[in-house]
Amino acid sequence: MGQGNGRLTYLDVAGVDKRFRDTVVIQGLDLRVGAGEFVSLLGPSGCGKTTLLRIIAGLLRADRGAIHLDGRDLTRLAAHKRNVGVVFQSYALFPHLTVAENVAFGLRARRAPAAELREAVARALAMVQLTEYAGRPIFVLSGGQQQRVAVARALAVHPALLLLDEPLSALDRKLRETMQIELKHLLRQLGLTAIFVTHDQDEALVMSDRIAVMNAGRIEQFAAPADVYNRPATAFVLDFVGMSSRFHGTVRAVEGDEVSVDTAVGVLRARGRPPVGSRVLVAVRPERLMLGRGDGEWRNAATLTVRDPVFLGSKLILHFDAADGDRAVAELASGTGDKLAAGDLVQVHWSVGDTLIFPAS
Amino acid sequence: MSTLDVAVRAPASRGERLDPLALLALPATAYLGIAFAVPLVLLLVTSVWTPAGLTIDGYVKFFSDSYGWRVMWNALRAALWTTAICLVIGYPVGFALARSRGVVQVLLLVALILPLSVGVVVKAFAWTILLRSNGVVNQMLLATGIASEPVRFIFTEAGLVVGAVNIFLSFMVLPIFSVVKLIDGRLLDAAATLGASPLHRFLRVTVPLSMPGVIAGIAFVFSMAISMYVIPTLLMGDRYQTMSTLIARSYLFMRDRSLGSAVAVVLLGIAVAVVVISGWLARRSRDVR
Repeated sequence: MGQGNGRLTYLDVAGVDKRFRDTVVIQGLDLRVGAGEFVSLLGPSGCGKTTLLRIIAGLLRADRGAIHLDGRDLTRLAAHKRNVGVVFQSYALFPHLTVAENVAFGLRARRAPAAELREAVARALAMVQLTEYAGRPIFVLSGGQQQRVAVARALAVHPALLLLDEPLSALDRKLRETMQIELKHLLRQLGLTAIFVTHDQDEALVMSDRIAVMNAGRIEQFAAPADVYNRPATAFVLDFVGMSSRFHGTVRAVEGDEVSVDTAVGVLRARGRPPVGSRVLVAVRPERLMLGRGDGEWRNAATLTVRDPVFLGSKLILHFDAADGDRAVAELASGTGDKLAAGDLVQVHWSVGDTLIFPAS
Repeated sequence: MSTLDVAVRAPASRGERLDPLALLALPATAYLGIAFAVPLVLLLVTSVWTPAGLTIDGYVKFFSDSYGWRVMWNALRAALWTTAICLVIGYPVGFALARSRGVVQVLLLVALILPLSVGVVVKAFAWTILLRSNGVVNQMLLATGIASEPVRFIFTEAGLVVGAVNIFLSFMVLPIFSVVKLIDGRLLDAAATLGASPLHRFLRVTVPLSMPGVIAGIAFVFSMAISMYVIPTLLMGDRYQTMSTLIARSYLFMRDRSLGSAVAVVLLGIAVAVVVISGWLARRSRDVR
């Protein structure tokens, strides 16, 4: 789906601030989402992602800032007038109603005629394959089924925007992975614009057109999954999404668009322009590391001691000894380093172009 | 298919086995059995059994006399008014209590529970002082000009209900409070995002979910109000009979055990019927909409 740059803005969150008592939860946050886009808000707990979701839904009022949806100003509109659907983490299904009545709730609230209501409920239940559960009470359903009822209930009223607050976090891993694909497929089919809150990076990578990585009430990077992984904008994003080898060091020289950095494993090169003498963090994704000695573009090299080889079937993860605060990890295709054991000395190399560099925090 | 059957049936078969934790209910069960069930059986037996043999004389005497019907109607009417007013006042109070936090909630709870430590006799007697023609209530009405001459409260049914509501209100508020407190606020959030207005959310989510508390409150207040004895005795005097006072008269003055126990059984029947019916109505109101 690319960067979404050429796309018209459908949801526009501008300059939102929110504080609870003395704690700043969200600070000067902007977020623009295109129509039909599936965006994840990814971040650790307490980063403000659920608060932002509640502000967009109208369940919380922002202290400052504006929210527009499809040209409509939502900023001061009550939640029930926004037509923004929410799938809650706890599902928040009505325990006193059956599956079908839960799905019908929003339609009744809008005073839909009986015939239309029946049809819409049937359609929504069919969408999540729960037709035969229509008359059941909520408490007999499994977690996965409850999750699907929550989705059907939110979709039945044709929301202009769907917000999902960690809707899969209560499910076990197998089911979660199935539901990720199912949900993504369903929402894409409906062409719905959706914002998905999660703290699970894999989930965000699997499901989203774009990921907004949040930290301490701000968006650190808002980009397509591949860009977030390959080109993290900040050291926080690097750390939060995926594994990496990381070496602290001092910039020794700048040559054109390339710098050389003194680190505990030797001189490493990266593309960037930090000033000479500044403290930096040099990093590389584990699958970019190759065994052996490289040259030319591949001239970043290090000799490392294997600490812990982890065999994962299709791949082999090698953890190496590293200096304090540093980390060294390589991901190899199975078969390439099978004979390695803890304590072995290994030569690795990687491309300058794959090397990431950040100012040290 | 067979594994599905097992999965579906498993919880039921688990329920049939005796949970060892159930043994914890044994002391209470034993106490209730001795202090409650045995006398109840004795009461039932007494109402149909005299030294002369099996009889329904007590019931016949009560139901054939218009006086009996009037007494029953008195008790029923006072109890219904008391319960209805307790519900109207108590429902919002239960909510306020559930929504309040911290010190405010503690203060409200204390204000609600502390009066329970004052005996019913004391409270009923206090109301006789408040309600009499030169009592505080009338003084206020006269001072503010709402009434131009003392209003008769004492020995009227209105006075009885006012006193009874005051004494029983806590028993309506507390069960409503304890149920409303447990309603998950996220359900109301969910309802709002589905387009439900505040009124719709209240009627379709809050009210149905608070029903168990309402039923418990109605059951408490009604069964206490229909069997109240001290309050009508002090606030209404001897001329006004309710079923409880009639039971006491039958035993103590008329020495008519079969009439007394028959009235007691009828009273019990009414209380049980109201509790069962209110529960049934609540369930029905939930299922049909």
